[in-house]
Amino acid sequence: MRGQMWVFDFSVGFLVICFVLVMYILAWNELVLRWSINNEHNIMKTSAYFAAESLLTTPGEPESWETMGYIDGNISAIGLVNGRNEFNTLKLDILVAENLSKYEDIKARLGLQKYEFGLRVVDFSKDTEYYEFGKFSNGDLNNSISFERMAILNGEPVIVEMEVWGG
Amino acid sequence: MKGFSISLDSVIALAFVMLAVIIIATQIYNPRTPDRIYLKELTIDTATVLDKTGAIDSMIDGNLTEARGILEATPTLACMNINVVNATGKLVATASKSGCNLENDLDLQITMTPFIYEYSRYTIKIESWFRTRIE
Repeated sequence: MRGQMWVFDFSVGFLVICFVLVMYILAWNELVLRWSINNEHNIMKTSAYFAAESLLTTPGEPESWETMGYIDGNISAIGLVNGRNEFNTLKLDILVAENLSKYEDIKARLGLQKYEFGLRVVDFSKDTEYYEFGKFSNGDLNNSISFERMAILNGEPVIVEMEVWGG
Repeated sequence: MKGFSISLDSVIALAFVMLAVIIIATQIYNPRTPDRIYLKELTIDTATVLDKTGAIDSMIDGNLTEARGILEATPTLACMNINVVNATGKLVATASKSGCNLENDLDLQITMTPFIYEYSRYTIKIESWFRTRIE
């Protein structure tokens, strides 16, 4: 009878501890998964913000890369402005013209090779679109970051809409 | 029965310890989102656009229309409050985005930049924050 009690006691204890351990492992896995998704999203956001900063606050490297008339391996960094936030229309023209053939290459120079990228320059009312480059998800995806920056085009303030998605 | 009580007791204790570990881990792991970087960039963009389009000049002259137009064009969730202060520290002009109330618990950023207009020195102070709800 004593031996039977011991086996019963051990079995119940073992089952309970197994249950607790399984619940713990499941909860921990869920946490790690959430952290991982959060982390990936933050990396994507940071990449997007730095790419936007490069485009809107630096002329690129070399500074007068637009004089070449195209984008090739001699251009190590792409920037679209003369001074901070002041668009150089020639740089924008070249960027848009190279959309089909150099999209992947341009993304890579912006540090966005893992993602898709879209840029649009519109007026304050968002009725007039001046320039568009890259690809937009059109709101189909959850893992998408859309944001706006401000700049000046031909002396007029404009909104720069950007989207980084996929990955 | 004594053994059963001891094992049940220890399992409950273990469950509490594990729960505590999960709670502590969720509290410790609190990664900073890069949204603060974005707000700072957006604020500097706004200051630059205000400066380069002449909206600050107009503010000092008493015309706030252009500055308000630029503020209203900022993203919906972004709030900004611009103060132009002269060299003696006197407030010369101020403009705020509509529908934004500065609440105490908000993560406020302050950006200051010097400005010269008609040989006088000014400081542009922009307070910016993300609003939690749209009114």
